[in-house]
Amino acid sequence: MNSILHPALGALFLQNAKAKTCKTLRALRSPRRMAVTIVAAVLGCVWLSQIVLSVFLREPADRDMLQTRLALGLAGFLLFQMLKIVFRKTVEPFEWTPSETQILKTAPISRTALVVYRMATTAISALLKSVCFVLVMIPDLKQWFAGFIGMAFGLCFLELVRIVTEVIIFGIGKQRLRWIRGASAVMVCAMLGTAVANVIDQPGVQEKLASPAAYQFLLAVAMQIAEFTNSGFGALVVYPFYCFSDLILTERFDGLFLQRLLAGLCFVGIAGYAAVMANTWMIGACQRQDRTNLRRLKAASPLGQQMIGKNKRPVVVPYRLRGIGAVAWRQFYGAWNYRASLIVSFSIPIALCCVPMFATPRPPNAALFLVASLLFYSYLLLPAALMLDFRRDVDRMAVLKKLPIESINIVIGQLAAPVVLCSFFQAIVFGIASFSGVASASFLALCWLVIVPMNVLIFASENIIFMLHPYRRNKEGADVLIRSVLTFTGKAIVWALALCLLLIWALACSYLAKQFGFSDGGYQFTVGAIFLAGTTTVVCGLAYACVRCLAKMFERFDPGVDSVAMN
Amino acid sequence: MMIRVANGGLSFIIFSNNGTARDTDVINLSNFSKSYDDSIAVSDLTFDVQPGQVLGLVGRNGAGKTSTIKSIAGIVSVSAGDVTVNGHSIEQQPIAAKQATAYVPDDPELFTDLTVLQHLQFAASVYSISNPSEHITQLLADFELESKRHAPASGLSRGMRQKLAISCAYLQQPKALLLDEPMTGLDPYGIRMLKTSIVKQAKSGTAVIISSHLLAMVEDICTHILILDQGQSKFLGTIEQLKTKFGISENLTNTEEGIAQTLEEIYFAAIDQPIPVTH
Repeated sequence: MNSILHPALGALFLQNAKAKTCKTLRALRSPRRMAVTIVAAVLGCVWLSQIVLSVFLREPADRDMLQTRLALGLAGFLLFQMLKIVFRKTVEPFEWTPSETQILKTAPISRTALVVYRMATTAISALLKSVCFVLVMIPDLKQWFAGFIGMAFGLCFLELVRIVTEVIIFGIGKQRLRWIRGASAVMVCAMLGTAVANVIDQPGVQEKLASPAAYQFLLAVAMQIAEFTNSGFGALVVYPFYCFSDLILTERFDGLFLQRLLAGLCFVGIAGYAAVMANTWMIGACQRQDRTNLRRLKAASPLGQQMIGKNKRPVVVPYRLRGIGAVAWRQFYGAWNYRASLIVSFSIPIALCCVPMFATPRPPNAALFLVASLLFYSYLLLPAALMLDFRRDVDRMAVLKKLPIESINIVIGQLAAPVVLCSFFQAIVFGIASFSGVASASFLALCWLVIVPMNVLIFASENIIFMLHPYRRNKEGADVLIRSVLTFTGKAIVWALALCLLLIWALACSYLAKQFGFSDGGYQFTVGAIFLAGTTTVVCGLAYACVRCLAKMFERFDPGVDSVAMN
Repeated sequence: MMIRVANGGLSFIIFSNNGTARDTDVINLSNFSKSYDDSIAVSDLTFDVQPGQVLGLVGRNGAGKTSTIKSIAGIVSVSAGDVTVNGHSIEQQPIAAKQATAYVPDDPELFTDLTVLQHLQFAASVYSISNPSEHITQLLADFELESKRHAPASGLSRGMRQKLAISCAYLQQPKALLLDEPMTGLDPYGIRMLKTSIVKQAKSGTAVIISSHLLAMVEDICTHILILDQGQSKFLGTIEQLKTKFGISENLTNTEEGIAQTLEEIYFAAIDQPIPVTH
């Protein structure tokens, strides 16, 4: 039994959970973080009240439609995760922390027990997500408990299959991985190509492409992809997910429910067993690769010769620029190392932003849609992908503080990489927009006056949140989930408020132009000029204030206390 | 039975070992090699450590010391050769081998949410130590951790973390003790305490391997020394044998030019590295 469930690991799991809860509660009561606590409490209330409103005001969704969407949603998410793993091989499967590597891997604990321990930590995250799911879906669920169990099983299954894929991809050789990547790319392209071709062949495709229904076209393509699940192989792939969605939408506790429960349990059990087996196989495969690699190295050249030849690059010293250059150079260098991930992160928002441009007939305010969607993605999605600032330097804060560079210059250097990269992403979209004739070059140039300081504002505020409540990237757990939910709620509120203020400001500009007595010819221009001048001034002012505030917070950041609080 | 160190271009008669594990060996490495993607960290290393012996592992940065220790501890895989601890292969019987081994890394990473006491309790549970209370109390007192008993590991200083990791290792009463730069971060009392305790552990029959750059400490407590250079063994034997090989005999005076006298000088001579000159 110890080889599967080690009692010490069980105790460690419980002690860790208990200590984490106590620490979170202590941190919430800490005077240093009282402001964060109050904001978090308010945001939590907003989030919960949204749910309450949804319970009272939302009509339950159609059961069949929900069942299909749940199953296909889970299957689609798994497919996306698997493709991500195939094209971006992980450094190490299971992601052991340094303490786990040093303590658990040297302890007399079987590999199976370690895998089970890791799966248990994953399951906790799935359980928390399932609780959130049940809260959001209250109007649609007849049996809450069944909904919770079904979603928990679904998420656990999804995570376990993801782990199995990760382990297998880690264990196979480079040559085979190239084949798998090629085959995956061909498969995805074939699927997308077939779906698009089928949609184009359908009657009324021009209406679907016509704006504002351009999204209908994308929806039709998605529906076509979903159609693949009606084929024999497709049905087999999505069968477990239909089982989970059936369990989620259980109407009463009867024999059928028990049957579905057992089926769900079986799927999770099989996936768990597969993860254990895959891990055993992977260890053997890695050892074989290790031995082959050693033979290759020994045969290729004398010891260490390969390494000597590689270090003959010219030494590049970045411009200092009062320290800003050196700090920014480091972040840009990091960005270069993650270029593949950044390209993927940029591609999807670029594609989504460009959809209105290619709609026929083109919408009258396509340029405005473009700028708005660009800002929306830059505000909500990109900050998470462009963590090339203080957020990735949580363990290097002491080093940064010790540099002989003024705080404000360190802040500017740290923010340079994400702001420039974000602006680069926006420039690509603007380039496409200008090329396709959606907007004039002068209009886009004027938009840049607002967008660049807006980027500074976005990344400075992200870093302020980080300074208030430091966190580690790639960390999982209840605190991370809660923080993500609250941050997104807060961001959505700020976004809505900003839109309201913008509308009020636009109306005020119109009123001011009338007050100045401009006639028809100059009226539009004056409104535009006042609006742009005011908006740019406010955004620049806010960006400046945020950068100053960030510099002040960086000065006050105590790596000995704040970093410890985050661990 | 006498053999030669198998590599490094140096032939020097040392241990009575032919590369195969004997009943008395606690740690045995036979033709051990470790490679990473583009480099060989350790190549064809053969040595053994018997109960009561303290082997000092010295060499330049990147010589392969930590790779060797981590392979014995079972953290990194063995690319070629055999590694056994207490007669158990680290690859074929990892649990039995790890049960006999205690490992203290150069920069101990602890479970940040667990307290000092909980770490020791966890070690007692993992290594199936019965009635550990008395031993835990003794270790806490020895390493001045008594006042930090209920402090979370995240609040401990570098030296305190080191002391806790050493305490966890001693609690296991291991047959093989692996210490990677154990003095880093320790205060003078901690250093003295550790040195004394290592000797005590060895006397009780533990086989100890210490990786360190502190040659004075190596000279003080190690019975044997292994000099690694670019992943290969340059010397393996006792300190006296090292002095005989690379220094010159006792009848020469300290002032004689060109002759290595201190262990530091002997070490530089062994790895063919010029002694740094300060201006």
